[in-house]
Amino acid sequence: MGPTFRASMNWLHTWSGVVLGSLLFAIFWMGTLSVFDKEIDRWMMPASRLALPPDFSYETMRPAYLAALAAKSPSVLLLVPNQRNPVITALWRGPDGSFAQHLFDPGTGAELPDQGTLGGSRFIYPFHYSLNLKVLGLGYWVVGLCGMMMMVLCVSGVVIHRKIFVDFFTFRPERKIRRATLDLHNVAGVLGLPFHVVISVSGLVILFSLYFPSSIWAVYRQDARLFGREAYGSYVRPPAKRAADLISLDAIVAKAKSVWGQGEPNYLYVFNPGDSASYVQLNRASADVVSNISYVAYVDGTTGELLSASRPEKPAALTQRFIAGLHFIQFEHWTLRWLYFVLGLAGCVLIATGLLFWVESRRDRHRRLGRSGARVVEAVTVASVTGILIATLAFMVTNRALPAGASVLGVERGAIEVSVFHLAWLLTLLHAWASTGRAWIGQCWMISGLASLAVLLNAVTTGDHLIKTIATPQLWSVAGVDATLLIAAFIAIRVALRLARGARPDAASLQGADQR
Amino acid sequence: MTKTLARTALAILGGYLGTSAFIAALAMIAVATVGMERSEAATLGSMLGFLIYLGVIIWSFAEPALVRVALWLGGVTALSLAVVFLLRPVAS
Amino acid sequence: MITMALLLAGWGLLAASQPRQFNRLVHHGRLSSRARTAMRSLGAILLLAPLMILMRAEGPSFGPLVWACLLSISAMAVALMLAWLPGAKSAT
Repeated sequence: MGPTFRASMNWLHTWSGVVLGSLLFAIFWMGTLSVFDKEIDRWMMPASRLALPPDFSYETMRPAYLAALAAKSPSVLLLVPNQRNPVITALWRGPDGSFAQHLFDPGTGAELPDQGTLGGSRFIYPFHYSLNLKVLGLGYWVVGLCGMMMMVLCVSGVVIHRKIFVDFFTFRPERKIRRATLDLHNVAGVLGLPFHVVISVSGLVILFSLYFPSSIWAVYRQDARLFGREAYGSYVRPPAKRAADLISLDAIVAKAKSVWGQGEPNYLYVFNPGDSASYVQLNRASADVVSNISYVAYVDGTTGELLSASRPEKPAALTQRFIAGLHFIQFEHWTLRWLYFVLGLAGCVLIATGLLFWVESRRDRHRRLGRSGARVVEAVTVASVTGILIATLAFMVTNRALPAGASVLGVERGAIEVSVFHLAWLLTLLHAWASTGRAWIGQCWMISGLASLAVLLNAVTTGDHLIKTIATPQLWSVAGVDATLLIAAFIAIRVALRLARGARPDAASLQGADQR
Repeated sequence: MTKTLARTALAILGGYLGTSAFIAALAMIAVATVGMERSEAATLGSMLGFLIYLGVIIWSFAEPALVRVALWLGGVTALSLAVVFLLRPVAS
Repeated sequence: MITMALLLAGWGLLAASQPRQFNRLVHHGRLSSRARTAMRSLGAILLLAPLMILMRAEGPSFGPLVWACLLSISAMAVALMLAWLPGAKSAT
């Protein structure tokens, strides 16, 4: 695509960046937020802002199990409460076939009122890996392609960067916006390169069996399901169609712990509930290790016998779980969690500045030649950068503004929030197209307004204002979200003012635009 | 424009098919010759797939002659599929 | 905290050893090659020392991960600090 290798890579970097930049930004943005998905859940589900009881008994999960049994679900996933998620979360398939989540109090086992929201872990997090596009699993493939292209962009970016080491720390906000944008793109890209590469490759490796199943098909042929059993020791058995009670959940957990020793399970997955062939899958929580799955055990639900247990010790499987663990950050490590968040924002800055640089380099030429390319890309860029921030904030504001159990024209509360997200996103695109050049400023004001409003609404509707949440350890997740929103509002105001002054829309602006 | 589209399709789709065939052959060879465990060979092949695919995409855009890209990808795919077919009795 | 300070100092020294940045920080004079080597070695040591500290504090798996993340973030922080350094000339 060019006379030299470098020229080809330049072409590849430029065009794959422009075509996929908006999608990549959305994926990075939602991924960055997913670092704190549980904290966003607490913020969006006030009834779940609970303290973890000091002596938790697994029997407390029995009411959740019985509720799933009453709903005649073929299986029920019970998530064990932990510091970040201090509620018993149960997921089961209702009689109408829909998958529903129910929350239970970790102290009493009583069901909590429906919070009417998908929150962070069921809207923001799946958006990150599937764009919430469920048709034919299309979302996974689009995100997978974006992940591959992110790696291509990293490689081609390094190839075309002429002076990597000379420019290592070079950032000149006082220069023309085009130059400053490129500087910031280089700084965020080069200095964050290890993170960008690792996060893209690990994201892909999580779903290796979806993206590259051919090697599994080749060696397993017809019975590809054997792969899960051989690689991860998964276990399946059909129901016996004879009623039987589930034995004590504490006993089941004790049995699993006899296999792996120290460490609590992070979930209990009960298959065939109420049947004499019921069995429970338990997974050791990877709170203290990087790797994602360490031990899985299957315990008989009526006899308490160990049916199958696996500790992955095969090198390739271990490597895969380690790489997946790097991406999942399910370990308890607050420092790392914040570092990932900051590096994720750096990734957002990288993508946004890349898009901006494309627009800045072509704006004048395209206007002169009467071409619409730069204008279209600019509008799309505004909508995909500040637009998705506004949409996310609108989602959160709606969550606090709607009363519990609200519904509009038969649409439930949770679905309204999602519609508002999409509607707000669409409006930012229209606004960006209508007010070219000034759109950044308007949308920055919008960000600061919505972020402040979200904090205010949270204080009014739940009484958990920032002073109270900072003083109460169990509310620190709420405090963290509120504080981040306020910081975002502050940065957005500064950016808007700076841009409005028009003189030198500098780096603070570009960077600030991405700070939520 | 047509050429760009052809190259993109070749890199993304052709590269994906070629990589898939290649890692399938790789996994079978690992099982048949070194006696690697099935699940290990499958996992390793799959993970290597991402790196190979990355290289293929880069190369597809760097190679000046589009025909050569097509021939190479076609050749590797055919050869890999032949290996998969031939090793079938031994490695699964 | 300590590790972050060490990393900032390390990147700072490495940055200052670059002619372009040195000219901005010190408005006159030239950096002798011996001083540059000294700054670079000291900077590299300051970047590596936190790895040792973190390995001891966080263990062999979390230590390097925290270090790698901090390495990127501290380098970005140094780049931003250099950009808004009071009194420094603009880089060319």
